[in-house]
Amino acid sequence: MRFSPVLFLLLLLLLGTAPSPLRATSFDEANAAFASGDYAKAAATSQELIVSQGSSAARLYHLGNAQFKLGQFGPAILSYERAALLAPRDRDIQTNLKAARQAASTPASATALTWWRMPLGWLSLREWSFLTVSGLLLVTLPLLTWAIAGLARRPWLRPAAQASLTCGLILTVPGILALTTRSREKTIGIITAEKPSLRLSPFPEATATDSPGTGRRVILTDSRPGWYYLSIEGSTATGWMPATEVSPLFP
Amino acid sequence: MVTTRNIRSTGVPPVRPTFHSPPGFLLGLLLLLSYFATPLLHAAEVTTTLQPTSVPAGEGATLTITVTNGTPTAANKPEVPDLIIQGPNQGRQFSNINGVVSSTVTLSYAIGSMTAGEYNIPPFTLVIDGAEVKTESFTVKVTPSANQAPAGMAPGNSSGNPSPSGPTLAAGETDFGFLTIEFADKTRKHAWVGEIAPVRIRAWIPDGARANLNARIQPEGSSFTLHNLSERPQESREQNNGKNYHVVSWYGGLSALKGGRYAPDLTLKLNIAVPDPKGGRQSTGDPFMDQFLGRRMIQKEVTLHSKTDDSTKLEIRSLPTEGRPDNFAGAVGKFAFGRTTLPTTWKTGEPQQILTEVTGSGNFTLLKQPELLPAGPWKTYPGQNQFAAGDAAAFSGTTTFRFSQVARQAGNPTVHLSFSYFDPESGTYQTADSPPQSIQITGADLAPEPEPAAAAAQPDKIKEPENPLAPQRTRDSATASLTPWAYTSGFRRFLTGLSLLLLAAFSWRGFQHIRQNPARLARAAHAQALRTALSEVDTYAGRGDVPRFFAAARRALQVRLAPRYQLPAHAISLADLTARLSGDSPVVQFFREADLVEFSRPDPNAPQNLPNWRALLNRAMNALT
Repeated sequence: MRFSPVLFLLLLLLLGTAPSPLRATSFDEANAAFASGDYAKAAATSQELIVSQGSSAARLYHLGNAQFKLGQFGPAILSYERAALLAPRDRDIQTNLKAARQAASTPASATALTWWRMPLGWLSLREWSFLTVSGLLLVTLPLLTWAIAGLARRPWLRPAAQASLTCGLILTVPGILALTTRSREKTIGIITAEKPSLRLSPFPEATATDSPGTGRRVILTDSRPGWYYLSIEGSTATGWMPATEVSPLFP
Repeated sequence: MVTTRNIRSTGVPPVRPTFHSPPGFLLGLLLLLSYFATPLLHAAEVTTTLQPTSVPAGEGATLTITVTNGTPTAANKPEVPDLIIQGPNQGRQFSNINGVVSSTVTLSYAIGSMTAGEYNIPPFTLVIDGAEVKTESFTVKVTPSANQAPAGMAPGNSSGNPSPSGPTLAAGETDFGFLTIEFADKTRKHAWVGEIAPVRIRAWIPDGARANLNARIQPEGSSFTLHNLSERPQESREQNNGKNYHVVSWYGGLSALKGGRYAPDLTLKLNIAVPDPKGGRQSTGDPFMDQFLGRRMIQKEVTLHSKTDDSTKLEIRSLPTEGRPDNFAGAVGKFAFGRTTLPTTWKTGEPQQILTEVTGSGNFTLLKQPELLPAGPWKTYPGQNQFAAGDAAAFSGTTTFRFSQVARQAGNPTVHLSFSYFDPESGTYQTADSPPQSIQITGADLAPEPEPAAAAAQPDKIKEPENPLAPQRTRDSATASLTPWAYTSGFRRFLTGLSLLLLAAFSWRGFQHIRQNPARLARAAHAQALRTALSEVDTYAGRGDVPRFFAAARRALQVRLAPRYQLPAHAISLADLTARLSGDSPVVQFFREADLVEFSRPDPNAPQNLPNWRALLNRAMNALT
C-alpha cells in the first residue's frame, strides 16, 4: 500500500482530537457539581480541565453555564463565544449565549453581515483552516505530479489530476476568502469585569471616560503591558482598559 | 508669423507726474486731507462685545470696545470685587468702502475671576474727541474650575503670609517636613461609610530643601481610600512656628471603608535634600548658592506621615439599614436632578432616548442611572453616563445619564425619574424625583417579558431568569485549539513549504525541458561530430596518413556545411559546392584536392604536402565560420 500524506494528516487530526477516558473523569465531575447546584465547583473544574487538557466546545459550554448560574455574565459570554468558535452551528451554545447577553443587557454583535459573508460563518475558522489546507494539497498534488512525472507520458493520470485540481480550487477559494474576511475576529475581545471602566490613558489613576457593560464585544487595537486600547463595537467609545477586565476571544 | 522690432531711445526723458504747478499741488493736498478728514465728519459710534459670557474660574473672557469714527483719549475701567479686568490692548484700522473712509479703534480687555459666580460689569467710561461716552453693561458668569478647591475649602495661601490654619508641631518633627490633612467641613467630627470627604492634603517641606516626589500620596492601612487626587498640586510659601516652609497642596476625597473611630494616616515618599544645620556656614536660603558655596546638604529618602492624634480622629458611622430604599446603590452626598429631557410621544416597542443630569456633591461613582416611575411595563437599557467634575477632588459636579427606555403598554401616564441617595448631613436616605411629565404612548401592547422590568433597570442586581439555559452535555467533545491553524505561524510555514516544493518541482521540470530540446540536442551532436573530425585531422596529419587526413578533413567540412545547405553531412559533394561557391573558394579547392587524393593513386611525396593541405583546410574552415 502506498503512503498517502493526506490520509496520514487526517489520522493525526483524528487521534489528536478524540476524547480520552482520562478527560471524562473531570468532565463528569464538573457535570455532577453543576447538577448538584455547586456552580462554583463546576466552574473551577471546567476551568481546570480547559487549562490542563485543552479547550473543547463542551467544556467551554459547561464553563459558561456555571458562570451564568454564578451571575458572572461577562465571563459566561466569553466562554460561550469561545465555544461558538469551535462549534458555530451548535444551537445550545447560541441559545445560552443569547440568554447571557439578555441577562447582562448586552447587545449582540453590532456588525451586520452582508449576504455573501453569511455562508462564511457557517463553518468554524478551524474547519475553514482544514478545508483550505486540504484544498491547497489537492491543488498542489496534480501540479507536483505534472511537474515531476509529466502527465503527457501518463494519460491515465490526467482525469484524476483534473478532478483533484477542481476540488482543490473549490475548497481553497472560499476557504481563503473566509479566513481573510474573518481575520478581524482575532482582534475581538469580551469585557469580563462586572464594572469595567474605559480610561483615557493606560494608568489606574487616569480619567474614566466610559463604563461599558459587562460582556460587551470590543475591538482590541493596541496593547501595553497590562492594558488594552479598545473600541466598543457599535459605539464610538474608545479608551484603555486593564487586561484584567477584558479578554481576547482568541486567548 | 511673429515680427520683432527694435525700439530705440529717442533721447527724450520720460514724463513724470509732478506737483510743481500750483493747481496740481493743491488738488493733491485736498485729496489727502479729505481722505483723513472724512472719518471726522461722521459721528463716533461705540459698540461693546463680551466673548464668551461664561468662563471657568482662572480663565478669561474678552471684552471688546469698538469705536468707529472716533479716537478715545481715555478709558476708565470699572472696579468689581473679585473680578480681574486687564487691558486694554489698543488697535486702529482704516477702511475705504466705495469711497467712504472710516476708522476703527478697538480696545480689548481680558476679564476673569478666580472665584466662581455671576459678575455684573458696569459700563466703561470713554472720552472720545472730548466727549464722555459710556459703554453698555454686561454680565459674565464664572463657573467652577476643574482645578478649583472644593466648596468650603479655602485655596492655598500663595502670598507668603503665615497660614492661620498651619499646624502646631513638636520640636524636631520638621527636619524633613510633614503632611497635614484638612477637611472641608472642619466642624463635623463624623463621617459615613462610603462618604467622600473633600480634603486638602499639604506637604510641608522646609524652606531651602530640595525635594523630588517618588510616589503619590497613599493611605496607610485599609480603613480609608483616597479618591481623585488633583494632578497638579498648588505650591506656596508659608510660615509655621517661625519657620518658613515650601507647601505643596493637593485636593482629593477621603472615603472610609468601615465604621469606628480612627484618624486617616497618609504617607508620601520623597527624596529630600536639606542644608545640614551643623554645616558651619550660614545658609543663603538658595539651595543652588548653598551648594555653590560648599554648604553641606543632607539627602535622604523619607516618608512623610500625616498627623494622627485625637484632634484628627473621625468617627466613622455605618449607613443605617432602616429606611433604605430599594433603589439605593450606595451614593452618599447631596444630589438633585438638573436638566431632564423625556420624549413626550412614545410608541410601544420602540426605544426612546432619555437624558438627565444629576448635579451635587458626593461619591458620584456609586450614583446609578435613575429609574422611570411609576414602575410598570417598561424595559430599560443601561446607557452611558458622563461625569463633569466641578472641583479638583471630583467631589462636586454633574453626571449626565443617557439611556433608552421601551414602553410595553399604550396609554397616557404621568412619569418622572427617580433615584435614592444618603444625605450625610441629615443622616437619612433621600429620594430625588424629577418634575412629573405626561407622555403619550401609542401602539399595540406588547407581551410581558419573562424578566421583571426592575431587574433590567438595575444591571448590578440582575436576577437570574428561571431556566433560560439549554441542557448540559453528557459527553465531552473533541479538544481543539481556539486559535485556528490558519492564524498560526505553522500555517505560514506550511504555505512557504508548499510554495518552495512547487517551485522546486517546476524548476526541475523546466530543467528537464531544456535538457531534452531536439534542437539543442542536434546542435550538441553537430558540435561533437565537428570536434571528432578535427581531432582525427590532427591525429592523421601527425601520422602522415594522407588518405585518412583527407577523409577526416572532408567530414569536418561536410559537418560544418550541413546546417548551412540543409543537407545531410555525408551527402555534400564537390558538385554541390561548385554549384554554390566560386571556383577559387578554399572549400572548393580543398574538396578538389581531397577527391584527387581519394580517386587517384597517392603521390609518394604527398606527406610532405600535408602542411600545405592543413593550411588550406584552415582557410576553408575560416571561410565557413
